[in-house]
Amino acid sequence: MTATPTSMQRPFDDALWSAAEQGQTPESLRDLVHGTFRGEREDQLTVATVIADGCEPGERLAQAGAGAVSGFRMAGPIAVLRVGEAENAYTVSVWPTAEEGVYHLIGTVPVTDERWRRVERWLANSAPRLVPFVLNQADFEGVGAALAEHGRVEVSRLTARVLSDGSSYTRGWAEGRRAPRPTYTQALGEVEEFASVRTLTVHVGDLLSLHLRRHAGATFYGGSFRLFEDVVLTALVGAAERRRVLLTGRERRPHERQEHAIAVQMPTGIFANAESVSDLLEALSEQRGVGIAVLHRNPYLHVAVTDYLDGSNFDAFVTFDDRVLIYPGYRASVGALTRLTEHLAERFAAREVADVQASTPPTRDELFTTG
Amino acid sequence: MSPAVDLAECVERLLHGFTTYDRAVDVVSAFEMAFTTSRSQVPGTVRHFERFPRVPGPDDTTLTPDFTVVFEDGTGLAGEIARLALHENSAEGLCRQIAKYDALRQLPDASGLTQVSQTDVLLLVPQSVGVAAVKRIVVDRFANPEHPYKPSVAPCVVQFAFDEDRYIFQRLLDPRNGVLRDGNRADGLGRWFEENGDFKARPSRFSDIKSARAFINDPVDPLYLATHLWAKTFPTMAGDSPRPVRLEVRSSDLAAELRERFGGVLASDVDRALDLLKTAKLADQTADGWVIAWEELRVPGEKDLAHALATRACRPPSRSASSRLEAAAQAEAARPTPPPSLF
Repeated sequence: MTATPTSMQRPFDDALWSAAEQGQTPESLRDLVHGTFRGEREDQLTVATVIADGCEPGERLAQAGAGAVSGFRMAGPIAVLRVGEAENAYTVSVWPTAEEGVYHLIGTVPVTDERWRRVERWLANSAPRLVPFVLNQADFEGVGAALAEHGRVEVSRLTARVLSDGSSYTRGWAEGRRAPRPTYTQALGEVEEFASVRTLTVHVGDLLSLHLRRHAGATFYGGSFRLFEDVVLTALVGAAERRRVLLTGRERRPHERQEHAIAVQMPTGIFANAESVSDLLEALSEQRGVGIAVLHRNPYLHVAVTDYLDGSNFDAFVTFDDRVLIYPGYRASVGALTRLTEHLAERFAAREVADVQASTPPTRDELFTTG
Repeated sequence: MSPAVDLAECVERLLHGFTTYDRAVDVVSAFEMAFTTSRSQVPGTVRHFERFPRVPGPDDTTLTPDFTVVFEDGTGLAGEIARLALHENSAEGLCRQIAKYDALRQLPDASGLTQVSQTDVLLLVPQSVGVAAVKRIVVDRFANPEHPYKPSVAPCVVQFAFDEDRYIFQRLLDPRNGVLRDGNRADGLGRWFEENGDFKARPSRFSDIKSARAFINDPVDPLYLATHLWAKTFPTMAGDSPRPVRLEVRSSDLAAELRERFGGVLASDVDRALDLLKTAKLADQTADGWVIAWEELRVPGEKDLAHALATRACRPPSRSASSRLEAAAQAEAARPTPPPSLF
């Protein structure tokens, strides 16, 4: 048992930890934010939306971060981790959502801060029981459309990955009189030909400022937390639930034909050359506890992928230059499938992870011509 | 020869068998697609496609073509992928084998065996030996009055190749080469070859079939099956148990499970694969069966499991599977009991 700590830097953290120590459940996330955010520059709430596969995510995360986690309490259904000591301590909390198996990891440290990077490492070490995911392009665009119903949505900063070489691309627009900042749609349109957007800093008139990430998450900077919660967090939960449903119960069963497979849809031509296939093999095998067996290579690729952490296994095929097709094996957990698709989506700037027909049988004419 | 050269040759030999077997899996899967799922009229003419046929032959033998087809009109087809070697015994043996297929009047259907009025023989050969196969099988033997190989009709020799992004199956144009007899069926591969000379199959057309039925009717290449076991079967059995996982199996049980799930594997195939794993110090044979020490396999500089298994089999480490399991069990027993709660 740890002693009652010195106050933490952020009132949000203090209030949440205090409630947790007393075994109280905060009325709501919104109330907690309203009660503790003072409109200061440092007031921000970092959210990462994750999928849990048969585990208690708070405990899992606390185990993964055991060396740095100085306290762990349950505030009702919310798991609260106290990280670090004294005035440098901060909280990371795990909030259940309206969807079973979908949680928000919430903290007050910036997403780019080493203190949050550390949380991301714990998350990686909690796989495949607790996993992040990457939003489909349509989900990402949908957030902008939903926000636009409440005001002009402007972008002040965009980061992206250049499709041709994987390099980083950053663009910023200062708030000035010469020209208005681009709208959400204009900002996405500006790079769609050559890059995949990873993050956007967005302003909805004077109502809301936030940072939205393809690696499912967002940061509330200020304004209406209600709008942030109702539009952004709701969208993240909806996308997570669709992904969880898509990847649940996909294991093969004897004598049952797999009518559908899982496609990670990439930008056109991304696997058009041998080097990119090598990159794919490298990417498949670089995750902790994941191994590959190459059954066929050049020019089409057939790889058996094994998740050695929970025994899940998959066949992955590249038969088109813009898609990895995954056929789950006889053990295929939602966690293992989520982290496999998340990793490929992140590494190759996938547009979407989707359910597709398991095969595309050819017509007679196709058999005679293209195959 | 230096040990390094020995090792390279040994690994290369194992991988060659692996690759050859995988290519045969592709070829059979492509024909299964053509006969059963293609959006042509052919699947409608097929009563049963059998990927793992076992058919009674003469003198109490069992014949195992690579696949058979029973058509709705009561005729049949036996497909065989041939690996024609240079020496004459290879061609002689192949002729004896496919002559028996030509004589088959019973072929597998969904409920067992059914009568067929004729069985066409489709002989599939790599493009590199296509012309030679027609000469040595059809011209030198079938068409040679002096030679005893006299099936009812000439076999249809079809060569295959992987071109750019698709397999091509091409009937050799020699007029003495056999044809596939479609009769009055709505459509058939005989007509395909007659009209177009060939047909093509992109892997995307049959990847679902290959994933579902990972093997073919030939003895499974030991490295191919060992890789399948390590990458799919053992992890499915192991789940998230602490590594290394001690798995105790009998080859007959494992073969039955593989047949149930993927088809075609015999206990002898499993024994050969486990023997390779034993050589690689990943399995041990016991009085009752086999013990496997399953865990993530790490070979420095080698990400591909098939290469890693081949390398271990060719240059085995010193510790056996059993000794690794014992060491892991001792380490587990020596681990201090954790405190009841971290916080």
